[in-house]
Amino acid sequence: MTPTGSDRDWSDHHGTVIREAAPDVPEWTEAEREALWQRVDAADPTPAVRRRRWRPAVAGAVVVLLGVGVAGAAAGNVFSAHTGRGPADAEDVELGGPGERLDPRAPDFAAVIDDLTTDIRFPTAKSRAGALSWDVDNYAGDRSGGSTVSTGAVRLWVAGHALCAWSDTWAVALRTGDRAGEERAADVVLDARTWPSITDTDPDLANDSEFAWLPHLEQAVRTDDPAAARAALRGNQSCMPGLAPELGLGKRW
Amino acid sequence: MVRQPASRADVEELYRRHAGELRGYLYRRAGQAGADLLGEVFVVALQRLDDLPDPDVRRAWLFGVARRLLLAAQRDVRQRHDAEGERARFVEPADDHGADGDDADRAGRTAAVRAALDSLSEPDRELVRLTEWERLPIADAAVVLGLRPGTARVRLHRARRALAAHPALADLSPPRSLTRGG
Repeated sequence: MTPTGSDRDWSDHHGTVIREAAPDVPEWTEAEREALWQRVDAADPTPAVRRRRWRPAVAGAVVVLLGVGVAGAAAGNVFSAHTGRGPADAEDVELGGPGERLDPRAPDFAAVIDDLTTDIRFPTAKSRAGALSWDVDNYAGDRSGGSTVSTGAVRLWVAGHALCAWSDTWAVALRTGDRAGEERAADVVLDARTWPSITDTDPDLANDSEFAWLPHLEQAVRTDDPAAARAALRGNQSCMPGLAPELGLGKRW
Repeated sequence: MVRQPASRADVEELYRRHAGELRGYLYRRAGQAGADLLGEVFVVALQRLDDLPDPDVRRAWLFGVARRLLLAAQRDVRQRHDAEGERARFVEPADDHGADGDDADRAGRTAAVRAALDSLSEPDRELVRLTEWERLPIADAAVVLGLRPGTARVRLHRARRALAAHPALADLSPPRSLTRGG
């Protein structure tokens, strides 16, 4: 791009110097170019739908990506996580969750998740940011399969992260004798079964449903039993690293 | 007017026209490990036939997909491994310059430019690289980074001023009397 008059201190020389510092790129032969296209052309381009149990393997580290995602929102009209496609039928809802299918590879995926989950309360902004970045990172890493993820599933999982964080806040307050803090956190946990983010996808909270563990967590909170809370949370993979160190679940990001 | 979905032939045409420059972009950002993502860029394009953007934005869109894949791959590596060797797979390629004569001079200039670029924030650094290394128009670079064009222009303007004022780059500049607007 040609410098403008407003770039007063910038000159063509600067541009030349910058360009000369670009790393050299090895030659690419016509045969290599053609071979790669043949592999691309042979690839199955059909996007897959993430299937229940949807929870992927827990990653070991978190990189905060919200900045990237929010920046990507402005480009949503070009390549957005919003696909406009919903579940095809009842079985699709059962397998992939309700709501629109989102494309995790889109640059605005983080911003879309942020918007979708604004009603889900976390005890701190830090815990919310950490939880969302973990999910963004997790799905973005699943780029090779062309998977989509439903808005219902995303909201349900973020609700799980929030519950984990609130449970940890509750446990800290219990240990330190912070009665007001304990009650506040307990109220949130006990109210969770009314959250739309949970009831939209799992109204039963029983049998083999996604949040069948919630009644156990509620009972633990009612009886001031952190060990039981830990046991309730431990198996559902809602407590990613950093959300529940007090409960011994994922001690750091 | 209803826009027709793109076809596989359209994606093949995009490949013929842009694969080379996209490979350069991926390689300059992450070496061979980055260049290995080139095929995936076009697999994504094939997956998005129904909603590929209008033809005049497709080049920028492809660069945006490539950037997204690079970021995701870099996160994958960081998540999976702590080993230094594995992390090193996603770094900018080293410049293979010798230690004497012109090569040494170029290596020194390259190091100075890198130091100046490293002083910028990542989006600003990428704006400069997209416009100077990849020769993208500012509007296309804005699409790649998810910025509004006006925002991108302002950021590029500020980034250029910062670079021009950076001591490492200033030492490489000719006297102001020889520069445009100087």
